[in-house]
Order: sequence, then C-alpha cells, then structure tokens
Amino acid sequence: MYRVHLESFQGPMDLLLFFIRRDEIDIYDIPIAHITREFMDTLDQARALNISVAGEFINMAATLMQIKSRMMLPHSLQDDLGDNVDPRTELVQQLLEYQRYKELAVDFRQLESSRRRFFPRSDNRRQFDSDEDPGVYLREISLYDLARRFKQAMDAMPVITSYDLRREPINLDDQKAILISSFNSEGRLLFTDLIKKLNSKLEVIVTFMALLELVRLNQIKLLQRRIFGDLEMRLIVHQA
Amino acid sequence: MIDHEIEYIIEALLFAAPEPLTQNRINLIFEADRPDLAEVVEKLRDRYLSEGHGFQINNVAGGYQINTRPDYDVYVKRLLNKSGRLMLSPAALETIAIIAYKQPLNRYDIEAIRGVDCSGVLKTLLTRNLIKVKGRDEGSGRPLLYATTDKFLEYFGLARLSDMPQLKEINELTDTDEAQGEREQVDAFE
Repeated sequence: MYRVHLESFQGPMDLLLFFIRRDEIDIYDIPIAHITREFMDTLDQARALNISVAGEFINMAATLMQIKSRMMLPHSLQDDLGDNVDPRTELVQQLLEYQRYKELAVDFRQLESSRRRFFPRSDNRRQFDSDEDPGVYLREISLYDLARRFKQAMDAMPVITSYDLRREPINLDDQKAILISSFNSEGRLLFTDLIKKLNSKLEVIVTFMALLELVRLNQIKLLQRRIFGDLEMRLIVHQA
Repeated sequence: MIDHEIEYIIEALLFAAPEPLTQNRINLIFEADRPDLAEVVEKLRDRYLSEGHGFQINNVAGGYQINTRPDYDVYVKRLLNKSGRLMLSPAALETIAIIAYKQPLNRYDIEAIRGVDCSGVLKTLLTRNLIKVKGRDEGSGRPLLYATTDKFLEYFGLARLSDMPQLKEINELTDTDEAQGEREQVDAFE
C-alpha cells in the first residue's frame, strides 16, 4: 500500500481525478462510497503526518458525504420537471470541466517548453522611446501596475518604530500673549503677517482660537475690507 | 526605392524592435507606400532559408520577431546563462488556461473550476504580465475581471489567441471506441 501525497495535487478535484483514473472508474457512475473512503483516508494520512489539510479538501469531503447520504435516500433530488436527479451530477460536471483545463495546462506546458528554445534579440529590452507620444509610452501600463507601484511606495515609507510623544508646548493663553505682542505701535496687525510667524498647524489653530477669544473679550476687532481679503486686526485700547 | 531595399528596411526594423513588430507599427513608420509586412517577411524568410542563418522570423503576439533557431538553443542558453528550468507552476498553467479560454472572467469563476483558492497564483501571473485586470464584473462585490496579455501570447509563442490548443471534448475518462475515434479526428485536424 503506497501513500498518496496530498501536496502533490492541485486541490481536491485533482485528487478525485487521480482516484478515478487509478481505479479505472467510470466518471458518469462514480462509486461515491468508495471514493469518499479513499478521499478521507488520504486526508487522515496527511493529518497523521502533521500536514495541514487545506480548507478546500475539507469542503470537498463534506460535499462527498452529502452526496453519499443523498444517494441513500430515494428520489431526494428532483429537477424543475419533477424528474429524479442523480446527486452526483453537479460534481461530475465540475470534474469534467476541471479535467478539460488540466489537459489544456499540459498543452500550454508543451508550448512553453518549445517557446523556450527560441531567443529573441530583445533581452536587452528597451521599450520604444516615445517621449513625444505619451499614448505609446504609457500603453503597457495597467491598473494593476499602478496599484503595485502605489503599494511599493507605501511599503517603502519609513516605519516609525518608537513613538516619542510630547505635549505640544502651545496653549491658548500663550498664543493670546503672542498675538497681543505682535501688534505694531499703531495697534494694527495683518492676519497674514501673524500666520507667517507660526510654525505648526497646531500653532495656527490655537492662535486662531486665541484671536476669536480676544474678539469675544472685546480686546481686538477684526476688519475685512474685501471679500476673501486679508483680515486686519486692531487693538482696542480700553480707557481706564 | 530599389526593389530589395524594402526588405532591408523591414529587416532593420525587425532587428531593432524590442517587441514583436506589427503592421500597425509599420503604418506609423511609413508615410506613404506602406509595405505589407506579412509579404515582406515571407520574402525575408525565403532569403534566410536559401542563405542559411542561425536566426529566423517568428509570428508572435500578432507581430513578427527575430529569434534564434531552436536547433541552437543549447549554445544560446549557455551564452545567456539560462537553465530553462524556471517554468510556470502547474497551478499557474491551469489558471492561465482557464483565463485564456473564458476571458474576461473573475477570480470566483476560476476558483469554481479549480476548486481551490487562486489569489496567490493570480498575483504571480499579474506580476509576470501574463494577465491583466480588464475592468470589473457586474454583480455582488464587483470582482475584478482578468484577461490575457500580449506578453501571454509571446510567452507561449502564439501569434494570436485562436492559435491556442483546441478545447478537447471530454472523453478521456470515459473512453469508448466512439469517443476515441472522435478524438483522433480532432487530433488530425490540429
């Protein structure tokens, strides 16, 4: 008794076709009990050798068991016309379809081998240079290429492994003080000039909040001469 | 233009082309009196045959390509340091066969036929430019549709998709005399 090595098969269909061929089984009249036993034995052997059995094999095992149980019930499946349907039909169709492409794969293997005996000059591959014609230049680029480049770029991003978290030394009161001290001797300040002094987004945001706060406290007033024009700030001098 | 000159021009183009030379490409090169590429290639082939050369012109991916003659592959492989062992896996071959005949189709259609997960294989085929994404399917999840590329034709030495091996009728497993006869006919036709 020799072992059937699971890993040498391209999946459960391949394994079933192997049994069918080995045991000279008529594919249109598969002895389900026999083939289910063979299939399960092979899975058990693989497990005994600590080989993990792919989900597809388990799935096929379940399908085989289901067919086997249906075979024992008389007329369990009927088609639209009320005729009895052999529970094996769907599996047989699948096996035939798969078998067809498995054979084609052999043909393609032959094509591959014979093609490999020809060598084109183009091993020093240059694409047609087409600076002036982006249509030609880009013609080989597919959506997949773009997605792949994007992923490469994302993967190449520097990975920050340790995080250095610090509280940003920015608070509302400080920014209010900075804002007030930024006014010129005439008590004027342009918003754009103020922004130029700031370094981070957070600083801009907090400074803007400080600005609103100062307006609310009636310490400064805002003027805008044109729509979307610069904001002009005036310091309000409170008479004591 | 001298009678033979067009042959020399086409020969030069074939020699310099980094990918199979097509009639379309020729039409972009010549403004008037566009030569019939197939016709000129036939003349070149006749000439190569009578003179004897280590290379030949093949029909590849809808165009023409100068290749070394297979008789001398042993030497060329040594030159290029190619073992020729790096071939597509059985899984990749099965998958590409399915795509080639049923394109465009989505991953689930392929998996329904092969009965196994195909995502890894599809990735390999995409990376090797043998297949491409050709839009999205209708229906739930709108899965990506796959199709073969010109590189696929080139890889298998096919001039066009219709040169692929014929889909055989399924009878190998149920061989009767009748089916056997049919298949022999198909083989003879090929």
